Amino acid sequence: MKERQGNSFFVYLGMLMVTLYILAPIVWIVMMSFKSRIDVVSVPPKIIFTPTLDNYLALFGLGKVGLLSGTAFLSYFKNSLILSLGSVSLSLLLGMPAAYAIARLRFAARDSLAFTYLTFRFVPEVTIILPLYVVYQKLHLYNTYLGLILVYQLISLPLLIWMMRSYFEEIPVAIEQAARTDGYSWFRSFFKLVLPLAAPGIAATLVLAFIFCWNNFSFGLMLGGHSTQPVTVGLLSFMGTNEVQWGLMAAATVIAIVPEMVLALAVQRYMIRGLTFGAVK
Amino acid sequence: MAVMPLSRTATGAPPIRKRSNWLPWIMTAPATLAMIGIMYPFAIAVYYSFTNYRIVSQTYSFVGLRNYVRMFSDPNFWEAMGNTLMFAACALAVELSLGFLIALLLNRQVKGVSIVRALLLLPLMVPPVISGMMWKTMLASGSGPVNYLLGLGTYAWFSNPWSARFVVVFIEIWSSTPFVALVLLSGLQSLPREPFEAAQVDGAHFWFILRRLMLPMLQPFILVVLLFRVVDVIKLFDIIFATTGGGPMYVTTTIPILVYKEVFISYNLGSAIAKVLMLWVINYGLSFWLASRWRRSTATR
Repeated sequence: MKERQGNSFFVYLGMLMVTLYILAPIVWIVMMSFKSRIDVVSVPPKIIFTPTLDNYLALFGLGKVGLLSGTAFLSYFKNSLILSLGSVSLSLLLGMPAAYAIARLRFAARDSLAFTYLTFRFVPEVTIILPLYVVYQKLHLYNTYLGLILVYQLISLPLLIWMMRSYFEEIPVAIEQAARTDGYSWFRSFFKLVLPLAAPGIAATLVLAFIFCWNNFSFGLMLGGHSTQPVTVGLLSFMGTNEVQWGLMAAATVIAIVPEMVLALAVQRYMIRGLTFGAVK
Repeated sequence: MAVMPLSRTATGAPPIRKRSNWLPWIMTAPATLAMIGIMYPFAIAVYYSFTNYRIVSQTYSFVGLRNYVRMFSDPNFWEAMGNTLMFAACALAVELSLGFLIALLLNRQVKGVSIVRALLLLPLMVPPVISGMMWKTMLASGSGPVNYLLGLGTYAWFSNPWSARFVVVFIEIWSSTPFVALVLLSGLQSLPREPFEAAQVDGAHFWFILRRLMLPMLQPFILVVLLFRVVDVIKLFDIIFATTGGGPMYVTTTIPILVYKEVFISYNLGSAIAKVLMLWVINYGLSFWLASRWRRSTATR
């Protein structure tokens, strides 16, 4: 479309408003994480304050904020890492053959099957959690990493299948045919040619799947206990009703979301494609 | 859209051994089995909805349609259903229009626009439950910056029914509008220039261009946005759980929140599952309808 240059003042004003709208709560939580116990609850709120690392030190067990130490946070953080990495790895294992089959093989149910995987993305979590709660109690999967990683497949597996499928489809079949004609085995042509070509996209998708797993709240809340719950659930315990703990909560939040934001900016180019399961490239 | 190269390889050898028609099934089996494993308890659960299953005793007896009859005569259920649909409708309407405006704004080639585009990713990376917590600190009655800037003193956003409703929807809008904006922005950038230039040369009015050119051409993108947003906003849980917990009274209780309380506070699994099934029916119907429309809109391109 033709660019109109005349009203660039309003464009910048709009961009400024969008920026403020997006950044305000993030900046606020970062500021809060550097506030002392007294500054956090000060009325009116302090924009200018003496920053302190107390909250961060407390989280890593190197100090206390009042009577509180935040070391429980570290175990929630560890749980999140185990759950997200475990889920993404399992999805990669389960999903890669399926994605390749859907991308390259001809079979009657191909589209319906792909579509069925997609519909799992749309299932409300509670509808899955309640039945699983009963089953998990019986199978002793309740409050286990394995149980949570299995249910996290609902988040990461459809995403990985759809994205890997779309990256495989972009690789010309001719390349594989040529390799096969040259006497490459199927495995060799897959691992030496197809996979390296699809790798950047797949890597970005893995990052995105990791973030989605990391962001999940309800599975851990209802199917996990204290020893397996992720950081999203753990953070709520800092929230409580007591505003004094908000400094700790803020520091924990910053630690929980900053790595994600850095990862997200690193794979920015692939983001929209991943967020829409390949529908928008 | 991706092409289907396999159908054009009639002359050459197909890339994969064609002899087996069970190969695709073997390759998709692990993923399919995992999904069935997660979903099959759901089938059992349909049966539980006809029982008085309580998660503490795990003994139950068949009670027929009692859970459903009680559900339909329960004002709390209808209030939660109303909230679920109302929040979804309000959030979607604002997310779509605001997202479209932001997309139009960021579709211009001005300095700094790529930074703002990158910033849009940030709210998408914040877990919804944390978005809720962040805004709760922003809106805190004494120490929060919002009340300070607006001069509202100790106004308690989460205690007044209407402001509580407003805040819940507002936080959902904050965390999801960037998704809408980014998808529609990719849509705008994929549009051909010629029809718009021609329309401008002809002196077409902005509204005419918007309604007759832009929106129809953006239709596949709008459908994608709707598909992904509708299903998520109907199961709104995390943000509410982190902020109001469904209160005051039941004014911000959605079906997922109601169901959570029913199971983990009153332990009535049977009747909770009946409610969850209602949510599932709505969600499945909407996502199926939108997904098939989306498939059709991309197939014709």
